[in-house]
Formats: sequence, C-alpha cells, structure tokens
Amino acid sequence: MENSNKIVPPHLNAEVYRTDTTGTSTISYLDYIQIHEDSSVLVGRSELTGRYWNGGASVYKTIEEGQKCLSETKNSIYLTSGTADGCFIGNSGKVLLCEDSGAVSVWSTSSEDAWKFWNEDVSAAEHDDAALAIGCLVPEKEYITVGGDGNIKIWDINEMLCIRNYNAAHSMPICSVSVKFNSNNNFATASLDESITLWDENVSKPVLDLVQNNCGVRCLQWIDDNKLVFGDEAGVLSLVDARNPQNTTKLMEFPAAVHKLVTHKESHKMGICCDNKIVSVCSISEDDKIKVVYHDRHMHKNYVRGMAWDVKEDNVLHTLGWDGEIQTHNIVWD
Amino acid sequence: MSQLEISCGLDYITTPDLQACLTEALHCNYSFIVSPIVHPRFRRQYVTNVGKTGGFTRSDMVLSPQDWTTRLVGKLSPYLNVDSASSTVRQRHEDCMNEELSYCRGLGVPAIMLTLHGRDTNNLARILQTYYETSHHISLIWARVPMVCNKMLRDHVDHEDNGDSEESWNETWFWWSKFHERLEWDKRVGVVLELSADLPSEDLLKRWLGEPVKAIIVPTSIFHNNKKGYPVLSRAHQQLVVNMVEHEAQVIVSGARRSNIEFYLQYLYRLWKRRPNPADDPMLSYARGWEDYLQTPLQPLADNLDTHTYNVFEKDPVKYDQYQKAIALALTDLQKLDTQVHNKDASILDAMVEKKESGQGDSDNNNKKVFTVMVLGAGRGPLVRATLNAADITNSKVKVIAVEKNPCAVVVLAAQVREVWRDRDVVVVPGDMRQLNLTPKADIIVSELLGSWGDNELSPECLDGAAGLLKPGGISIPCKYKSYVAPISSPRLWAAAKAASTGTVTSKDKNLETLWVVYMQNKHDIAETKEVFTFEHPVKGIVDHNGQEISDYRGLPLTDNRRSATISWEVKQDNVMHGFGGYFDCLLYGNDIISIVPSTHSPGMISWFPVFIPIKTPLRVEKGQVITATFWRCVDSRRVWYEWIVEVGDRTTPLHNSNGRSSEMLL
Repeated sequence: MENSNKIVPPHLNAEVYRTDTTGTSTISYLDYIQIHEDSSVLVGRSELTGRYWNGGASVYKTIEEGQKCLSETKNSIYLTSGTADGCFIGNSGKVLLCEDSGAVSVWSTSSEDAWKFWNEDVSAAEHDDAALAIGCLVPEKEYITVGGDGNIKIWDINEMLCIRNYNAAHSMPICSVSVKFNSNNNFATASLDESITLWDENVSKPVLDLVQNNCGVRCLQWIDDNKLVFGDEAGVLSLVDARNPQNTTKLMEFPAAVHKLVTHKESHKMGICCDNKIVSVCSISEDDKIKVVYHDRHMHKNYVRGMAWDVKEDNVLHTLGWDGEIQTHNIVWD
Repeated sequence: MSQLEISCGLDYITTPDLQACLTEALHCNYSFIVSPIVHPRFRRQYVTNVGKTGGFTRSDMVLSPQDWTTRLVGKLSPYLNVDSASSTVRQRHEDCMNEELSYCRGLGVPAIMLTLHGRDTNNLARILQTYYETSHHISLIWARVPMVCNKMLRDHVDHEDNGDSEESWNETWFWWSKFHERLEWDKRVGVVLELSADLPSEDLLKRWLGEPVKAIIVPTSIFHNNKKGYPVLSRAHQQLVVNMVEHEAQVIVSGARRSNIEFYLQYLYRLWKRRPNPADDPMLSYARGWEDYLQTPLQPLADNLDTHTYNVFEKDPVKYDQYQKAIALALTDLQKLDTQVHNKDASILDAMVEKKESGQGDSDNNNKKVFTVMVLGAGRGPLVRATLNAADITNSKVKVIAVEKNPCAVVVLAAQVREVWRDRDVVVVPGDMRQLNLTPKADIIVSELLGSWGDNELSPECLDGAAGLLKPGGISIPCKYKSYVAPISSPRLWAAAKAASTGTVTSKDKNLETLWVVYMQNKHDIAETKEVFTFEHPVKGIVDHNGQEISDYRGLPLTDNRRSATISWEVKQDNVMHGFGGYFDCLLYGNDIISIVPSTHSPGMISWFPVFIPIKTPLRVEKGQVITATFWRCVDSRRVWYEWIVEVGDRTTPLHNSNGRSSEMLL
C-alpha cells in the first residue's frame, strides 16, 4: 500500500469514517439472472453488508460478456435500494425490477441510443415492504409481484397500474410466486408463514390454501399442470399435487434452506440452490422420484442466489451468487 | 409519564443510506427511526466461536453513538422464527437471532423490535431472557403484533359464518399476552400494536389500553386522502391514536410512502393538539408524572406527617368544600332540632304563664346554643377553618376543639389560634383522640382519617376510640364509608410492584402482599367495581349472647372492626388478572359524598390516588369464568392488616399476607 499524505488524527478516526465515503460504492452481491431468447442476460445485484444498501441491474449481450464485464457498471441500471428479482419484458431492451424499497419499476433502453443508457419509464412504490419476486401472467402486460409485506399485487405494467391487490395474502413475507403452466390467471405463492396458496387473478379471495408446511416456504415452481415443487427453510424439497393437496411428497433434504428452483423448459429437470455454495440439478420422474444428476460445491465461493438455463444449449446452467461471479455448468444427463 | 407531546417515529422498509434516512426523518421532525440491523435478505449461517472474515452488516461507525442510543430502534430480521415446528430451522434461526441481538447489545439501541406470529413463543422468550441475563445495557424489547389475525379472519369469512369475528381480534392479543407471560410480565418488554384498517369492538380496544403498548404502528395504507389531498385517518382511528398516545404510546408511521412523509407527521401532531379537552380534569394535571408510580400507603397514625405532606393534601379544592357543606348541614340540622326542643319547652311554658314575645332577633342570637365541634386529627387546621366557615354560613355559634397528636401540627394550630382565630372560640388539645377525655362532649366530630382504600389508615379504630368524646345522638362527619375493588389486568403495575424495593429489602412476596397507592393508568378493568367493607359512625357496640351491648373499661361500646367479604365477578372477555384496583366512597353527612370510585369520582378531588392490590401469581381468565375473591380485615391488639385470596375455576392463589406477615397498619 502506498503512503497517504492525508494525516488523520487517530482520535478522529470514527468521524472521518462517517464522512469519508470515497471507497464505498460497491454492489457486490449478485441476486438473480435471467436469459432472454436473444441470449441477452439480465443480472440483478445488491449491496447487503456495505455502508449503502443499494442495488442495480445490468443487461449483457451474452453470458460471456456478462462474465467478462461484470465489474463494469457504467451502462447498468442504478437503484437506490437492493433488488431481489427482475425480468425482461418482451424484448431485451426492457426490464421489470423489484426493489427492496417496495418499488416496482420498468426500465428501458432503445437500440438507437448509441450510449445504451437505461431510463426508468415508470415506477410504483406501493408495496409496504420489499418487493421480493415477480411472476408473469400475460407477457408484456400483466405481472405479479409479491412482497415482504405479505401482499400480492397484479400490475398492468403499461400503465403501471395495480389492477388487483391481495392485501395480507400471507401473514409473513412472500418469497416466491409461480404462474401455472399455460395459464394467464392461476398462480401459487409461497410464504414464510409456512403456507402455499393458490390464486386466481379473477377471484378476490384465495382459491385454495394448498400446503401448510412446518416451516417457512422459500421457493416454489410448477413442474407440470398440476404438480408443484417447493423448498423450505429447513432445506426440504417437496412435491405437491394440486389435485390431491393432502399428500405432499418429501423429495429430498438439503443441508441449508432451499433458496431458488429453476425448471428446465422441456423436461422434469430442475436447478436448485440453497443458502450455501452448492449448485444441484435434479430430475424428477413421472412417479415423483427424484435423482440428483449434477452437484457442484466448488465453483461458487459464497451463497448461490440465481440460476438460468441456457437458451441454446439444453444442458447448460448458468448460476451466480454472492461471490459476485457468474458460473457455467455443463450438465451431463442421460 | 403521560405525554404532553406526541412522539413519532418513521419505520424504514430499507435503509440504503442510514445516515441519509436518519437525517431525512429528523428533518421532517420525526423523533426516531426504525431500521433493520442486518439486511433482511442477507441470509447467513452463524457458527458460534468460528470467526468469519467480512461483516454481516454495515459498520456502526456510520452513525454517531448518540444516534444509535437515542434515535434508532433496531428491527430483527423478519424471517427469524425461533419457534418453528422444524428443529433445524429453530436452531439456525436461534443462532442468527443471537447474532443480531448481540450486535444490538453492542450498539446500545434503545429498543429492539421483533414480530410475533403466533402463540408459540417459548423459545423466543427463553432467548430474550438469556439476552437480558447477559446484558448490562438495557434495550427494551418491542414485540410487534398485528391487531387482527388476518388468516383467522379470512377463514372465518370463508366459512360464511355470520357470527362475530371476535376470535380473530382476540387471537393476536393472546400472542402478545402469552409471550409477555413467559417473560414474567417483564417491564422491559412492551408491545407495538400495528393498527388495522378495520377496528374491533370497544371492549377489545380497551383491553389493549391495559397492556404496556410502547408504540402503535400506523400503516400508511389506513390513511385516506382528504379533499385537499392530505392523508387523514378515520374518526375511529383518530380516537384510537389519541387514546394510545395518552397511554404513553409512541406512534410509528410505516409502509409505502403514499404521501409525503412530512404530511403524516403533521397530521398526527394536529390530531394530538386538537384532541378534546386535554387538561379539563384537574386530576389529570395533578397526577401528571405520577402515572403508574407505586407508593407505599401513608400511616398517619403510626407516623407523623411532615409539613409538606400536609401542604399537598390541603390543596384539594373539592374535599374541604364538601366537608364545609357537610358541617353546615349538620349545624343546620342541630339548630332545627334545638329549636324544636326549645319550642316544645316554650309551649309548656305557654300553658303555664302568659305568653311572652319569643323569637326576637337579638335575644335569639344571644341565647343561641353553642355547638361543640371537635376536629379529630386537625392537622394544620383546614377542617377548623371549614368549621368556622360553616358556622358563619349557617349563622350558628360553635366552639371548636382541635385534637391533634402530631406535635409539629400542634405548633401550627396553636399559632393560628393565637394569631388568626383569636376572636373565635377555638381550643387546641394535643394528644391521641383515642385516649382523651374532654368536656364538654361534642355535638359534632369531624375527621379526615381515610386512606385510599377507605379504612386503611385506621379511621374505624381511631373514631371508635374517640366515641366517648361525642354526645349521645351526636353527629360524626364522616358518618359512613365503604371500600371497593375491581379485578384488573395490568402487567405494568404488577411488574412494578414485584420489582419495587421497600426500604432496604427487595422481596417479591412482600411486595405482592402489600397495598400500593398509585395513579393507575396502564390498566384494564376486567369487571365492574364492587363493595367490600362498610363502616359507620357512631357505631353500635357488639352484642353478647344475651343480647346485651358490651362495653369496654371506659364504658365505651366495644366494637368489632374485623370484616370479611366475598365478591364474585363474571369475566366478560379473555384476560389476565394481576390484582385489584381499590377505591372508597364516603358519606360525610346528609347527601354529601366524597368518592374516588371511578364511576362516582368527585370531580376535581385530588387527595387520593387509588390502591393497587396485587396477587402473587397472575391468573389467566376466560370469558364466562367467575372470579371469586375474599378479603379479610384482621385486627389484633397492636395492628390491623388485610388478607386476600382469589379463585378462578379450579385455580386458587395462595392466601395473601397471612397474619399480616408482609404488610400491616400499626395501631
């Protein structure tokens, strides 16, 4: 380290820290990744332990560009608070972002803009706690957000109008939402209040309290028209059939809370990450048997937070995490 | 202490820049902010004693120490559920919670906020107890509780059962009450009540007023915009906010910023300012600062009061006025009686001799009978003054004999006789009223010997002992008094009584077997106020098995001031009973009453705060159950004491203060 010509009296150490904010603009925790059909990659990031708990999102042309230019943030979206989820809206020049402040915002960039600046088109701060996850009902039109406030909101994102608000849908933060396959109005939510609930956009009340778990539910995904896979705080991955909700099948148990699930679009394969450094891929058979087909505990140096299947290569999974890295996994399956 | 000002805080969903957030809130005149201690999404594994590089949250040096200790309430991570049914989760979350708690301990935040989600809080209570055991710096624990359990409410509506949804509102009170019970009603633990858009019945709201509500959370979602576009609350919410703030709750604005955050604060300030009649009741301003502050009852018989105590009690604008009216009425009645006797005599005379003019003004005045009024326990003389006034008002002649046992007060009385009342007939007699033998006997004896629970300053014993000073058929002012009790819920008073130190020893048992004089504010009446003991003066002596009145060695009727009373109440809603509120009322003379019973309290009378009578083990009571209490007033040759016992269903408290072991009044 070089010597500094700035001498700080030692007894003013704390005061100087309080006012010297020159070395503080880090946003080092990567939270989610989404890959567009045109190979563009959306990466959301937050700062969770630094002086400022802000966030941002970047869109890269390809995974490779993302991996290379991750630390360059000049063309990214800057957010005043962290972001837990986000997605592309239609083309890769438009994204919808959740913010820890409770805001939900739409950002876009036009291809004519040589500088590729992102502009906030519209934003709505109606959640009473952090917005935690996004689901899409009608592409480019209707999106669901769920929040730490236990509310579910359905947005017409063109007007940024909340067209339905399920107030106090859950009594604790809702961590995950999953829209049913081939449906424009049915979806399920998972909450730390230990329950999974089914909703129909056209009905103001819940359709069904599907699961009452023994601990908070962190994530869920439909794997076909009727079956849902969900992971909980205890690290248990389970399966429930909406036609027969009395029986939930415990699939397997992980050593840490299950954070996120990402299903492969054409098969019963699923990427799984937990509150640890491990990336797993499992396949679930028709008779609800699970098999681990991939397991990596070395590529990430901190918690894995986001996963996305490659749009071109069927057996490639991209992951990112709080170590600030994007990793690529080649999965071999039969 | 009751608030003169409303204190508002701002709850931040997230504090991206803590300094800026605090500055913003203070700039808008909020007094404090509520902020997460660790980023709510920052999951981590905490392994005890294993060092990790990299902190789990931001450096505390971003704020000055004063900001941490006065301006910031720390929120624990919302996902923590240390009472999860899953043992894995329980353990992991316990470790994280301990990490956050110990960080809070290091910061010295004034309060730590956590949220209750159900009735299972055993592990949470255990963790917090350990935290308190191992902390020197005392942070308050603020347990956030929603006003209604939405899940129950929803299920209720689903079943289309049109009955009342009371259960859903009752439920969250249970979350809090059970939690607080597990922490032995610790006074460092308070509740933060999150208001809902709909409000429950008045009774349920009142019960919350008996809980130590440290703050209320007013979500921005329950405000609506008025015509000018400013956020305002419904009338019912306004009332609730004012009631809560009067009970010392702070107000926390929380949720999405649907309007400028300054407007919410301005509205709340305005609401507080224009609350109806804040200072109409003299009792309220007099008692400010004494709310829920426990005092040991005075023992004016055993101890001599000091001049400052006299000074305080003499300031009552109402009590002496009532006495004066009562004395005047008694004098008028005696005059009438006297005139009747006189007229009777006169009519006999008329029959015998020629009629003479009678009833002439001046001759009447000269022949007018002089009534002897004894003021027993005259203190510094307010009742002497009241008697002289009453005589002037009723145009009667009085001889006032002021009896006082306190030598210091005697000095004051004697000086007044010499200097102020020199042309009135006032005599000061030093000594104990129970041992004096004076002539002439009194037509009226006036005393003020009542305590907060009526007879608890031994008025019956004193007046019985002085019965020989009163003429047969004479008047005692007061002539009758009754004590009252109501079962109450008050974690705050109970915890204060338990912790109070009496003199040098602190003993839980002693403190919970004692009457406490206290201006009770943070309490809730479980049932109505009912009568306990009644005393009358002058009293008839007790009668032996031959039907003969028994007299003592001085020829005074022997009295029995022992009492026992069994009282029952039906419980109207689920609650926890911590003891009783104790009151009295007193018939001075005629219809002239002074009362500190809440329903009949003499307006503006400030001389007495009620008493709190604790029970050793608080009793959880259910709607429909019957509380049965028995009180005894016990007497032996040198002291008087109370004993009490409470039964609910098949549960019974131990007998309190057996043989007066913890509290007694010395004769």
